[in-house]
Amino acid sequence: MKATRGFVLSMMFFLFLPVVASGAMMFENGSEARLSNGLKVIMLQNHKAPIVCFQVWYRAGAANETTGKTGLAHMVEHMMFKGVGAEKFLETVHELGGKENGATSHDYTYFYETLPSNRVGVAIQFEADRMRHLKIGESDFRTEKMVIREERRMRIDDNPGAFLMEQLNAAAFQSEPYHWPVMGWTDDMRRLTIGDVKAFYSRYYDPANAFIVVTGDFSKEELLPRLEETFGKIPGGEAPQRILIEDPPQQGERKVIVIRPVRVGRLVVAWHVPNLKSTDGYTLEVIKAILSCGKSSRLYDDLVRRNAVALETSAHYDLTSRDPGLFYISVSFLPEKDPAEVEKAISDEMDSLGKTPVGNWELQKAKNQLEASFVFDQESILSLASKLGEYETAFDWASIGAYIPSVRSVTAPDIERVAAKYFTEQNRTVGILIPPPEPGKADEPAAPNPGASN
Amino acid sequence: MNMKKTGMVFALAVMASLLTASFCRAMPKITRLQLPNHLKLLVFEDHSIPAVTLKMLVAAGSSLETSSLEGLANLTANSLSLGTRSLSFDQINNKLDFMGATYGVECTKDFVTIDMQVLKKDLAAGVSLFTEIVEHPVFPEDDLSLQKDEIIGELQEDEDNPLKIADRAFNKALFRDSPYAGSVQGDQKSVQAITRVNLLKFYESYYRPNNAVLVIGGDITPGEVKAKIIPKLIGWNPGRIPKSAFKTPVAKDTAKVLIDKPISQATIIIGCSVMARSGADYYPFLVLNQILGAGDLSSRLMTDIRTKSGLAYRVQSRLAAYKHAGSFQVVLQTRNGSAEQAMAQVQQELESLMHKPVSEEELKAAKQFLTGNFPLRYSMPGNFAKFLAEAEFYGLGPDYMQKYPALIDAVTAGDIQRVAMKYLATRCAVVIVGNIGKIKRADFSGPALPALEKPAPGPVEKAPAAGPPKPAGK
Repeated sequence: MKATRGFVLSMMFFLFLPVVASGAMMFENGSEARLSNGLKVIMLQNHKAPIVCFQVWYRAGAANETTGKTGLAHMVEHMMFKGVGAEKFLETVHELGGKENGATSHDYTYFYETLPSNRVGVAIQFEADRMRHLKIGESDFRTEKMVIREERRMRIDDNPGAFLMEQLNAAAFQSEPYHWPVMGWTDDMRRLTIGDVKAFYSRYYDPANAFIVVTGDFSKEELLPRLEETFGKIPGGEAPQRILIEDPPQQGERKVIVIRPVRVGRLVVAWHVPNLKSTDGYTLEVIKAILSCGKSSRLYDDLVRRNAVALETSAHYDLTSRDPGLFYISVSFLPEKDPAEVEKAISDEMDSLGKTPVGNWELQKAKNQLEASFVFDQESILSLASKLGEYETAFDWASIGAYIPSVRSVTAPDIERVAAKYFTEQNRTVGILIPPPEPGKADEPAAPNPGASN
Repeated sequence: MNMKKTGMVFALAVMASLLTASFCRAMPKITRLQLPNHLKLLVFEDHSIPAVTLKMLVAAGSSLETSSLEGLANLTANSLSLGTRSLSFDQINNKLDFMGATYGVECTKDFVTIDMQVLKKDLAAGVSLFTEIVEHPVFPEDDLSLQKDEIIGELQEDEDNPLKIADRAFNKALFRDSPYAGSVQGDQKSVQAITRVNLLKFYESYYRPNNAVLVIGGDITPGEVKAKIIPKLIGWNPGRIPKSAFKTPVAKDTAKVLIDKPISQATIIIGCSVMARSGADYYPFLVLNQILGAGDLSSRLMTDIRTKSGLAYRVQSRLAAYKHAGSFQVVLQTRNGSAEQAMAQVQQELESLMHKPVSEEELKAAKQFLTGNFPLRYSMPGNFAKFLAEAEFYGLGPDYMQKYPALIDAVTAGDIQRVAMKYLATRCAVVIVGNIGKIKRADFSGPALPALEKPAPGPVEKAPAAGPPKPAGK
């Protein structure tokens, strides 16, 4: 559910594989401080290379938008690169051999720079300035509006899989703001005005609604005074309240069908599930690994290898969404397959999780995968920082320390109970992408027969 | 972007020396070992996380296959882990997954890389599995058939992706009858036709220690490599590697390919063939590429086409220099109706490189990025291992990492203009995938793309109608 200015941190099908004791320990060196205006700074030192990742997070994203104005948070993120001094800043980061970018999700917007440790001041100055003093010009706004329209065409309109996900989310979430896409609906994007951008910026881009994450090669003794001189001088306002909207329990299966001229069909099933605020969240992590991590995983083994029902399979679950989200299974298949058969195969997998206990070896394998992936992820100071930011947005950065112990404590009965509780027909939304019927074969039902799904 | 503050120039000059210093400090020391079977081994240490990365490069890329067996090199690489003399598919994957190790292969035109990342505590088991897969694959018939289906499925899925369609057409148009023209994955028909015997022969010919480099990095020491890893590699037999008769692509007219698809954007690739990786022009061209379109938001293409004109979200240039030749692409996506304007602007940028020297400020910025970005780019062991393996493959010398900053620093504005004139004016290809009816007039004439006179009717390739596909292969 993120859209980046650079490349897609694509929808959600990047596997967040998992890992070990010594790996979890890296986060034990994390610490936090508060500047005099209340702005929180989360720090994690790692001196292996002379580079620093500096990030500023705002607790504002697409979930803060209103009807008719979707896509606004993402537009504001784009405009953050258009203010006075932005061009020079981008050039300087480039000359330093650094990288910068921003990303918007429903829950947050964040900006980062990775650059040589001795030049972190470049990031501090610029980020402090654009936290409160962004100036937006009318012509820059008009041009950027064209750019985000192109972004939407590229990422969603011409990408059938992404288009299907958008449709599915809109059906699964009704009152929750995850209902609409981060990118925004096309007509809403057209409607955005410079006044909307200014109002959103002034309301949400405030020290009271932000936090900083720094990882890599720095010393706190040098860093904190510099942050105090810059960010600390910005008067903190009041944090805007965000109301928690939660959909009532779903009363029956929902189905969305997208017909596009595709070569390969896709079927996605999604169930409402809790996030890390519930211990069930960690059980869902383990289930994700059992289903989809590696070629020994159940989905690959059953659907791709043994039964040739699917071309590709994946599972996605975001433990750190701010509000309860969805657990997704996504499968691509050759269009001559009956989607009902694919759907049945997925249902059977999920039912068996709720009925038959997972064996010790398989459970341990899943935990090992999650732990190893958690360790491997720590190679990158960018991914370390982003992970801290996501945990902080969802709950509290320090709760990342609970990840490995919580995963380890999941038992086979937990899996059975959690699977039986959430992976029900009533709680699921199914999205199907298929090509239109072949001319001349129109009498054969290419669209799934709704009655055949169960 | 062309109006840099002059005040910055001095600051940049000072920074250059700082960057070179940090660059050297950041890079781990490399230990080189050569085994009696001529396998080259490179080892570096990085103890920041308890994990070890193994990356093997084998000179067994797609340019070595005959054109009737397109996709053979890729299928071979992907099939190594289907089964070995002592382990079945399930045993291999159960072992890998129980360790939580990552394993993957990548096939390019020139070579194959085989990667594993494993936790330190599982190193011995990981290395045993890795060497077993590389040295003793048996390509079981049934698993091979499933692997073929998987690749054919991916190929079919690629047909829903405009960028992949365009890239495939571009390579074909640019490299014509050279072995670089084919797609690494092959096509549905060629993959279906490949047999186990083809794989065994290809494997026997090219997967030899004297045709490979292994890089090991991470939480490990050269001593551990000698004691624990080398014993598992010395039994691998060397062999005579078949000589490849590479036919360099012949320069002809600019090729133009239009592929019609009912989509909202036109995906456009404009490019030309350039020097091989070992060519002296590589470094000027690398800097040119950085200035033109590899520099994120501050590149010329981004500034002109995105920031000023709002015509695209993504516009970039890409340089891919292989062993025998290279390709250079400008890639962008814009709504069908703006295709003509965007292409004219790309054209102007290419011409400007040919006819006007780049400014000293731009030159400095690009060079500083290319050297200064080193620590950031290679701070992850997997990336650094890739860099080392490729430097070895392309014969850039054991001191390449030390020489690299000087090679970049030596590039002048004159060099850039010279390589622009030399390569951008000839041997070009233009590919457009989009709704051709809405792309007003595909006019890509001009000095950079000389062969296409005004509304060139050109060979217009119609894409297969994107309707319900035929059953793939079986």
